[in-house]
Amino acid sequence: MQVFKCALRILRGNFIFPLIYIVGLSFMGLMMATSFDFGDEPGTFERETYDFAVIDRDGSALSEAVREQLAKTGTEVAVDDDEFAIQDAVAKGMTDYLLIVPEGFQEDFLAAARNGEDAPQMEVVYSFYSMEGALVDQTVGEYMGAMRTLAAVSPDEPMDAIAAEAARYASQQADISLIETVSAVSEADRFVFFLQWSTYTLFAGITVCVGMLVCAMGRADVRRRNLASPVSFISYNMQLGLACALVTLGAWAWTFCLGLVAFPEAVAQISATGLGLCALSVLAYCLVPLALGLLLGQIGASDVVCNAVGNITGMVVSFFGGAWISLSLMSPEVQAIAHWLPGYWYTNACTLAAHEGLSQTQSVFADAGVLVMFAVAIGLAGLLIGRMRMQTTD
Amino acid sequence: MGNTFKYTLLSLIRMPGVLVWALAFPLIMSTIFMMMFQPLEEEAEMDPVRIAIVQPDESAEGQAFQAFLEALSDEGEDSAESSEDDADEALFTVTYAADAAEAERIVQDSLGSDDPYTGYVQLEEGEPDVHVTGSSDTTGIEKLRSSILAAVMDSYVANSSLIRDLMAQDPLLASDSSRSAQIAELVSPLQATEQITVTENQPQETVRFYFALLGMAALFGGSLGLAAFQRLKPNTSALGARRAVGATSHGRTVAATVAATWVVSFACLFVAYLYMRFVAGVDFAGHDGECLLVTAVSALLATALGCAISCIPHVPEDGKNGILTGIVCFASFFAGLYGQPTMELADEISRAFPAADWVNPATQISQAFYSIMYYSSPGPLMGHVAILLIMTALLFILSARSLRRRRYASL
Repeated sequence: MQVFKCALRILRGNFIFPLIYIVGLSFMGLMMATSFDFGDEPGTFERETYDFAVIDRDGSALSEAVREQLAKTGTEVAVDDDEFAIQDAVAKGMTDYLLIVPEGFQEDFLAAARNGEDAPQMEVVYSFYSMEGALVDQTVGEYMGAMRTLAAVSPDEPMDAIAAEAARYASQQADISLIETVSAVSEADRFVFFLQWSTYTLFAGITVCVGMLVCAMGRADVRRRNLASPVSFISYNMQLGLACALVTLGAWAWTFCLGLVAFPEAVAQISATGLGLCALSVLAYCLVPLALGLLLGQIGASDVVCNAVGNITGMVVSFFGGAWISLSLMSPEVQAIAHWLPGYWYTNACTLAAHEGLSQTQSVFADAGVLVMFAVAIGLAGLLIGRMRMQTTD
Repeated sequence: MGNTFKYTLLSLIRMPGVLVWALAFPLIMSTIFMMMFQPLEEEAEMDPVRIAIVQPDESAEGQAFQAFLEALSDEGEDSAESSEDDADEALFTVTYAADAAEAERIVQDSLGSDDPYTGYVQLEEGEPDVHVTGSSDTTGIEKLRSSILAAVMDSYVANSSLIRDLMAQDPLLASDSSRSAQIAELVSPLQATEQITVTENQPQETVRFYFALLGMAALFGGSLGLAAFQRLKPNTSALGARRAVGATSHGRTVAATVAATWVVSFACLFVAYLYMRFVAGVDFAGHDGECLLVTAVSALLATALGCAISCIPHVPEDGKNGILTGIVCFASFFAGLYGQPTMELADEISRAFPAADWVNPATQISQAFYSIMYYSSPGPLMGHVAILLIMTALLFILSARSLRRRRYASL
């Protein structure tokens, strides 16, 4: 087992790569999966919350009432009333909705309501997403509408009383119930998200480690010495293959076990069969970067090239697997391209396995089969190139 | 010195492995971003929310509810005749169903499609009974749409309660047609706000990914500095040993190497910038001069980073490349490069620990571009450039001891 031991020594000498890609970045995935909200309590609907800011240039009871009303369903972010602070808050997305109440607004609003004129408007700035802005604007519009009505029908009421009465009406909510859907997001999606994020870490980590190992063992002078040694060619390749398999299995076991340990609640929602199928899907996916690493090693790529190819391809595969942005948001063309890359089949297999378990065993096996075929195709290309190199002097 | 500059430049350009990081990487990623972000931009715009409504009856309440909905929506499935302006301003696209079962079927059938229904509403005893899909996807958009539907129906409940109370206080209102019309007018949805823009350009989340990519690409330019300085020092390469006994002074060799590395790094980054500007169509708001300044400073920082990493003792070049990769990957992670979830996490960390941004070069580069785009004052940009220059100076100072002319026992 001298070749195997030598391979392990090479891996130990380059431990920085598995440490960064497989261990380090998997903890990043862990952080992200932990920090996100994956659905409400089963059977309940919780309204979306938002961050808002009010620039109050009026300093009136009305502006204070609007601020209090927004604070009931959102979180207030303090923003100073100067150009830079306002630009900073909007540009960095610190607030979803920035409301500017102009000076003299209360007076104008009450006069308009009582004289039957058009109500004056406040200025509002949305940040990145106009949909979130529209949600908050709805709340403001509802509250201001109630105040206008009350101000019109009760001309002698002070603003404080009108605001309190309007708040009482605005606190009334419609009955909301959830439609039961098969696609509802659940806690189990936290585990699936972690596995999905791992498309990048596994791909980059395994490709780089295996590529560098095979490359180091395949340098022309080293190969010549090895071929002249008493170790048979089959034994040499078997031992080298064993070292590569060890890297792959290590990355697979680390990623999967980390997910199991970190997200016990999510794992509890997945059946034993589902977990088994998830593990199988991850393993099948790991074979693809293994094959690519072998291919890179066979073509004699340098460590910098292995690193670059592993990293960039890992990003591309994870991107098209929906780990960066959900594929459902992408155009049909991009979704079609995604079918030609392993990330899509891996994500599909993990999602089906986690949510459907036993009922989708065949589909998961089919997805895993596609992944194995990717690996076989790349691996065969690597073997072919290796064969051709054997017959050359390089 | 001129020869050192020239041949360092040539040797760097002839290193395909290094150019993959400095040049091919940002071009490939920009192309992918370009393909993927266009639909996301469209998603960020407010499209009408699709809902199903159980056809209200002919009662006064039913008619009032229908009028309320019509004020907020285009005409749903029959909207071909409605003007585009109407559709742009509409909050809902409504499809009417005969009963609750049919409405639910419409919603269920649409799930998984490109444009699913958010829910359905049935008016029961004058009150809307709302059924939403809630968190039916991991993007959060469906929950947002459901929340908008819920907020509008809350508004209807509040308004109808207000009208009922007003009627109860003054029963003559119902009989006085002019007064009841006035009340109906008052409780109709109020456009209380006017949307304005306070930044130089409307913020776009997708543009942030390009800026984070420029940050990552700039830092990966450090591989150029690493390769160049590995070949400069006598104890790290045979070439370095030969150069050490050459006629050019060590100081001039270092200066020429730094200059050549910066030129290649800047050129690669500039090509990436041009690609984003003209091919990917990222709008830098015509601030090309400022963008060039940030690109130049970023290239200098990358050179200093590569130089500093090359000075780490007792680590082979492979290991140093690994360290560079690790630093760049982690810095880019906290700059939000790896997709929407990462960007949200990076924003949270940035808000909770602002100091984390000051020490992250990828974030500083990304925010420098951001400042150009969104602030009218040059202050923020100058602040980021100053931080980048301080980082560069610190990295060169850290490398100074290793870069000085030294005697090596092995020579």
